[in-house]
Amino acid sequence: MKKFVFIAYYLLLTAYCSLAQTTIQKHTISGYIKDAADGESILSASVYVVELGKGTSTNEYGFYSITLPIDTYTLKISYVGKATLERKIVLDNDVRLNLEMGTSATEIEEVVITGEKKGNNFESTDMGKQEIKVEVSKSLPALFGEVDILKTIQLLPGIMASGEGNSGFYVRGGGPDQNLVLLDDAVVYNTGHLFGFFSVFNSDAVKGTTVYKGGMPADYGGRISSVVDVQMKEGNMKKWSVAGGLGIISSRLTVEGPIKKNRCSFIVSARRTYIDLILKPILPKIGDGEFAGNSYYFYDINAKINYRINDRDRLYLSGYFGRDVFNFQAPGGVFKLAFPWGNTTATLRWNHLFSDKLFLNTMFIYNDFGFTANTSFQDLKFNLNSKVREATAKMDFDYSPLLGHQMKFGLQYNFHIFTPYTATGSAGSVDFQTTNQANKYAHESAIYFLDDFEATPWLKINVGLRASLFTFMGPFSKTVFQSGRATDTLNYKSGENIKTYWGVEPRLSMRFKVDKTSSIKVGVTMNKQYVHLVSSSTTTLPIDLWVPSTAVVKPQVGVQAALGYFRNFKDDMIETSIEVYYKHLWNQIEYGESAVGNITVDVEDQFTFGKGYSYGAEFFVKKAKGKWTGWIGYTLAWTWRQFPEINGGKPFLARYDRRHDISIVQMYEINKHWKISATWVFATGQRTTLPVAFFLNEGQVHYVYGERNWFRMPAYHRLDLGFVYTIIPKKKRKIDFTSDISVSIYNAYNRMNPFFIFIDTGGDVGGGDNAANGTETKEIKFKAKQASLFPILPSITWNFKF
Amino acid sequence: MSIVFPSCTKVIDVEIPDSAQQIVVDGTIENGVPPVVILTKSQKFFGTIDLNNLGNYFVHGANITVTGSDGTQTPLIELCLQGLNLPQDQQDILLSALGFSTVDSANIPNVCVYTIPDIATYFTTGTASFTGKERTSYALDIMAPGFTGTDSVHVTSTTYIPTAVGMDSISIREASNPAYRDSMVSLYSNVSVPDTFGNFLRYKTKRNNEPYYNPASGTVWDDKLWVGLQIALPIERGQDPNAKIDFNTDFLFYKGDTVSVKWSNIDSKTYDFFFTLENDGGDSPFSSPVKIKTNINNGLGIWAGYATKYYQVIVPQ
Repeated sequence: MKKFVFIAYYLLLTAYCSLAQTTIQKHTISGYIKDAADGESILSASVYVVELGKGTSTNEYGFYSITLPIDTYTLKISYVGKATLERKIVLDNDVRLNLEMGTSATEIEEVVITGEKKGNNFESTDMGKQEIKVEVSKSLPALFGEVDILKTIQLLPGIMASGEGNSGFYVRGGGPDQNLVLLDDAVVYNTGHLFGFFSVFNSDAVKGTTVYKGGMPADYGGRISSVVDVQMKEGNMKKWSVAGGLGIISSRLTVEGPIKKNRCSFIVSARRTYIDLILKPILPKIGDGEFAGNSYYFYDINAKINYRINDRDRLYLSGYFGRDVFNFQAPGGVFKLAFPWGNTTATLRWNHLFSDKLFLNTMFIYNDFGFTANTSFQDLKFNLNSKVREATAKMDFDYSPLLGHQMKFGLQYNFHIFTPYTATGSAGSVDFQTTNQANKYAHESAIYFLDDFEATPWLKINVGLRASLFTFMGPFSKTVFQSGRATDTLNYKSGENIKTYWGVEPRLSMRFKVDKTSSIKVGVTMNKQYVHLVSSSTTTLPIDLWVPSTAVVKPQVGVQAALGYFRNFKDDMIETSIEVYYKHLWNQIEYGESAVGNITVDVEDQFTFGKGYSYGAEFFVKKAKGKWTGWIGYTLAWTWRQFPEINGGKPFLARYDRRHDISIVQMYEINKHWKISATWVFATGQRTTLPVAFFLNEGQVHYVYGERNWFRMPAYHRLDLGFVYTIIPKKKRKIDFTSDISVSIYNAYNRMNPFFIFIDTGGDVGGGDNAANGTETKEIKFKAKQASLFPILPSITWNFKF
Repeated sequence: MSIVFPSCTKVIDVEIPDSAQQIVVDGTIENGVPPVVILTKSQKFFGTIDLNNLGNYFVHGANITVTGSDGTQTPLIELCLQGLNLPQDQQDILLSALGFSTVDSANIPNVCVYTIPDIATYFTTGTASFTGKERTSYALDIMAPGFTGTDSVHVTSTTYIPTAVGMDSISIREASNPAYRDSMVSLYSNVSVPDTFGNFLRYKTKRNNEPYYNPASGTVWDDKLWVGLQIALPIERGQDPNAKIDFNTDFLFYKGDTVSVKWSNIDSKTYDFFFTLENDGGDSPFSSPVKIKTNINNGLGIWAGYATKYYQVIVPQ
């Protein structure tokens, strides 16, 4: 079946491309666009043919290709923040045109820190797509001064933070596992450090981020809600450079430079928190000293090396390694816990140009996420592990047969290994372990094709198809329990096919140009997701387990339809859009109502399955250019879930259903020294399930919960302020040393935002402690209390670069 | 993070939606002990419950029968402690069996229970017309007055008293933290866990003349990790649920104490009830609310069968 699909697809593609060709003689202009300062590839730069009023853009590696009839053309290459280049070309032969873009003298005065290429907002077929340059994140105020790209994307309409100070996010009513988060094409399974308060992305190592909150093109797959594609810097090809920062909780250092100028370069970036060192003397003094044995820190390292073999071939090797380490010791030393967790990714990429029109990127990727908890309780020792590992091979082709067509096709294979919670331990000389320890193995593969083309001057279409196949394979064994008794044993041999799923995922988006500054876009996408994360919490907890689709767990399916109106004003200075969407999700997974995080049972046996749907409207106004930049986003949305075994089968609003969500982001560059910024966010309160009644058992109070998520917490709003003062050396020195002092004020008006609501039970039932004085005060009092996390939090960071 | 930035709390107003009241069963039947059932009603949140006025709280006037799988049957009659002419020590035993603290003996809450008609005989002679037996199922049938008008609520349940496997012995080891070794010790239960899955356990401990208390970190174990093993597992000291728990010594026992351990084999549904009840952390960023499992049809709570063996050890000075 798979072979047949592949052959059919190849034949179709060949036929399609032949049809697209005409008999007029044509030649191709192609090349790479790089940054003149450091040799970094510039992605999404606009390459525009003035005479035809059409153009293309560079891919992720800075490559572009345009095929045109023989003639003379003017090419205009533009990218925001860079001086526009113009080249006159007599096209009587294939032309290779590699260009470097510099910052123009006039633009230094007003460094534009954000933006897209001219008119991209309404010209392209992209819906729900945003490109965020890391400079934007660096300009905004940050919690503890830790610049965080995931917190920047939460400021876009349709993307919501999963909680106070948290880098986790929900996109258009989708769950947190439905976001495909990539770092140099490697899937990042757990995006948070410190339970999600910081993302794993070190901003010094990041070049940019592309977000798709809908209308995911066919070259992305495996998740049903969104894509967050983070690109690491390549390393300075021109000169050595060192950058770093000293913050209140962490420090960073990045070194990059050419190994061989303009041919081979590297970048290494590392950071570590020192909360543990700061708190060490303080902890024993808190309370009765019960926190004395605790320590926590995280560190991560990003590294990348790239080698330009020749004009046709280029190699990239990049990797990430990060660990959180939490040590806990109960007072008295009775209970101890050592708890390291983290991600590892490694990506090897080979860019190859077959011809001026056909670009291939071949990738081999390894990534894993694992955690270990070593605990001891008196003489009882526990060792708890879980891990998800993935090896990927991927080939992505970019094919530009003629102007107006940008095709992509490719194939992908993933091998997954899921290690469930595995507990081993010992009590003195006796060893014990969990019963179901078998790894779950799965193969996942996909092929895709897409074409982004101009059908008519007013209609542009991006049509794509992705076919995916997933097989849960042996060896696998499992003891099946019912009411605590082993009732069956499943045994599958190595290579035995246990369960296979497959499906086609059509993707379509169309742009109808209304006039020179506005367009209407529609998009429908269908996605399948074969691996899942089910969490019983809103934070990114390392104990959350990724699981594959099996006979019990079916693939998640999502269909999203969106309609948008896009309009630019004042020569693209102001971009605006309104998008409405409807999303339907099948085979959604939640823990059952009585599930307790029990490590001794197969986690999928605690799941229950249902559906979800969400709909909403997003309003976006952005000022993309000038000294004053920023945006305002507003989202009106509903997010529903319906599970036969939850809430008596009645639909309920999801925990992260937020009716109104507003983000105002403003940045102003006063002069070359001072930059100020402010963000204000407002969100309707999250939903939560509070008890509605209680009962007594053995004299103690226990809760009876109401309908799922029946209570809406008070609204969340917060103002953050940021100030950056850049110290520029007065005289030009041999080593160009610049530094800045960045001050952030988080929660400037000290709003006590709800983190969670809990029930405070006062009084007691069984004991009468006041009897001695003859009074009788046996009462139980219940109060709902709101816990808040972060008050006003100023922070200061010193950043340097030379 | 809350360690670094002590979180602030404030009281908020919550308008609780109406929910139907339910009958709550807190019933036990143990090998050699008569069945005892406390019937209450679930209560709406955010009021103040005055325990001197329990008339509205307990369910009075229910017709209850307990039927064993061995064909035995008994009705249960309602007894309210304040109207009951039981000697103080017997009241204490009964209350502590129900989980109520009796340190303040002058002000015993007016707890009402349903039990066998000749319960007084049981307390004086130790024998009774109806007590639990191992390897026997017990059906509970309750016809309780309704919440409104003249309707009645029919509540049923079944539990099973398994075999009282017990433990092999209790061993005393020195406290792991040297700071407490002068005054305290650790206790371990040496158990031979049967080699077939499906064994569940609940335990409580008692110091000297205190009541039996539940260990704070949980009272139930299943055998998923220990099946077929001969293993020494730490015993946690049960503590008064209304007292502040000292985490420094939570797991240790005092030298010189007489420690009693109530060690009960239970069925899977009783285990599920207590396991979910003890692991409900509420809805927070770190946990989800847990709906407590029950074996009660048309109600809440538990009808629990216990196959108990009692152990006592005197910790040397």
